[in-house]
Amino acid sequence: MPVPFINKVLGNDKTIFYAWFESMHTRIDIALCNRPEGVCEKVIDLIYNELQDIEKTVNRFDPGSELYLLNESASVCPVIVSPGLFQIIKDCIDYYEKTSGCFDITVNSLDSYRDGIQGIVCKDLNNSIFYENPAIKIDLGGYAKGYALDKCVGILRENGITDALVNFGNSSVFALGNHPSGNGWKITLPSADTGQDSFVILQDECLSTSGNEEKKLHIRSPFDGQCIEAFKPVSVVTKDASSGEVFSTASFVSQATGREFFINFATIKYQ
Amino acid sequence: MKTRREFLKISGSAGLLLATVPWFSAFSDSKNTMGEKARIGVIGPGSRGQFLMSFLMKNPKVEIVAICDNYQPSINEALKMAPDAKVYQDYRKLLEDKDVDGVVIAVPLNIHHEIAIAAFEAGKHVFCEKAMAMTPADCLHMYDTHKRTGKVFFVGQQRLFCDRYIEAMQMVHSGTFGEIEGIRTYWFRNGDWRRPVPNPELERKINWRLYKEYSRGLMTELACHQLQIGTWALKTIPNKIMGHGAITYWKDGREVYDNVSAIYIFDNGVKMTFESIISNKFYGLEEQILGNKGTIELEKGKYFYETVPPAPGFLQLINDVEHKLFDAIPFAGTSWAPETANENTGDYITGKRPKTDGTSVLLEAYAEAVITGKQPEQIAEEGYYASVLCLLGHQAIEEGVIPDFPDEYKLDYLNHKRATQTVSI
Repeated sequence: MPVPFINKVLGNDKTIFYAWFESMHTRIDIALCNRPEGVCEKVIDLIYNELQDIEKTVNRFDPGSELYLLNESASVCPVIVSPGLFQIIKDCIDYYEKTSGCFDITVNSLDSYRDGIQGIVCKDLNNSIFYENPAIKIDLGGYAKGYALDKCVGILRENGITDALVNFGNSSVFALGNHPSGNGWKITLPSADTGQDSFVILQDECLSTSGNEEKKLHIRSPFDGQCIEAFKPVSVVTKDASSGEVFSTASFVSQATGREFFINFATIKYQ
Repeated sequence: MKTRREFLKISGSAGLLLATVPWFSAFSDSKNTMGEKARIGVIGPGSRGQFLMSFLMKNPKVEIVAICDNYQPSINEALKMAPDAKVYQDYRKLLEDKDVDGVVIAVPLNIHHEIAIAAFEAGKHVFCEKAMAMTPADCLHMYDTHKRTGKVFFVGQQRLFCDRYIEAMQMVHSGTFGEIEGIRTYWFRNGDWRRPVPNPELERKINWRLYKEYSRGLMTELACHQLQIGTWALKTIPNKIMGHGAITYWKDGREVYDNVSAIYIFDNGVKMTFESIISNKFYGLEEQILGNKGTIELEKGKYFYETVPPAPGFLQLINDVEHKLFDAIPFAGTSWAPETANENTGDYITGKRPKTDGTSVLLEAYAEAVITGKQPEQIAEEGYYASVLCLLGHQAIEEGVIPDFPDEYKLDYLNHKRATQTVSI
């Protein structure tokens, strides 16, 4: 399926190229500034293919994915995984520590199994993963988009793109360089109180938002396994999208009580 | 009513516009023609003619100096609009009138050719309603006479001047919808297509559209609006034509078909269809351009992407960038998921519901050309091919198929090269 795009040539070598598509169960919007159409198309192709690969690795619902295989087999014997997936899981275990357990990729384990993260054994020697209990299941749904967004930004930088805006399903927005008419990129904050403009300016930064959509509860607390009954989203600004994903989720999970702690890692925009 | 000035503002810079609508060169002298008048004679101020007059009357650069008709009720109505116009019964007398710079011809189809040729020969500029004529040979004769006399020639293809058509064609030409794979046009009505006749003797004069002597029926009266879309979008002219027509419902003594279908096949295998039935109106009228990335419905003024539609926040961003604005972009929020996406209702090409059809801008362009005497680029050729494609469609309906576009009717235009031996003058 070719990716649709709009390319506007504005004169003085100024252009804005916009492409959008669906991938990783969400929509991706990418605006690239001041690069030839052919270059932009090539970069979008690279990103599209990269995301297909990531999805093939981390989608726990897809019986053909590496993560599915891991979740099915890792409690029987250690499973050797790709270096990419191994690194993702190790990073997520680190983030569990950094967030005092607020960010937990085993939160959706079977039978409300708790502290699953303690039961994951990672062996660096051969990139193998073992689950100490068959109830343990890894869910990268709260991390993969951030990880994938960082990969996209990497592709943009490798291809000499300095000014761009990348939106992953509205919950993760990365702004690279500058808007054609300003410094950085001005993004309206979600659920900003009406009557006054509330926005952030991002420059080589990511804005990540976590929250429940219209009373549809989907974020579980790792501490009691229950869905969190709160609706005010939390947005954080970070230097990379992966940690943005982590700290927005952790801030939402901890609600007011633990947020201050995360200020060491991210700029938290209370809503 | 949208004026050309507002229109240019919406469509962005004139340079970008001219690539898609070269005929907008008509407006290149519009500042210099301030205060000047195009003196127009309207031949055939019936319902269509009066509709055209309603736009001409609003243009300060136009003066309707004469009207001509042999049907008094039309004269009476037209005089209410242009009370100072001289009245003629015979178009030849109007053409002798030195105060007339250009004519607007809105008579029944069968006399377009005769009047247009006479007008060119009398040194008048010509705006002729579509379709041009009853046969491709007559169309070619009109085109060649325009070229030989150097007089301005417009055919009333108003979609060429309609904002949403132009915007859509810019999108098509820049590849927004990918490769164009097909064009579907249709016009459905549920009615007998008759006008009230005060006296049975006037039946053929008033309901001329229904009789073969005066009209090619749905092909010349409706298809000619729509078939030009294909040439404009694909910048090429179809080669093979197939068709069928019949009278299936309105068996009331009419001679033209009330149920027609034609297929135009381009060299790359892409097809354009035209279909018209006038005993069912459910689907109305539409021109659809089908690309592998999306679809346009020109009458509704909407486009639809095959996959997820573009995000409104990013479209606003593009608009901001075009206008050098640095505004906040509204889209950040909790996750978008496919199941929360709305159904594909499309977006308006111009950002809003269509209002106009281009007729006012078309007539403004004609007035400019009459004043300057300069023929805008490609407008005569587009009009010519729109009409000839309808007429060849009619021929295909009669004969079943036209395997190749006849060489003798080719101009030097797009993928066509004119055969040197076929000059029709």
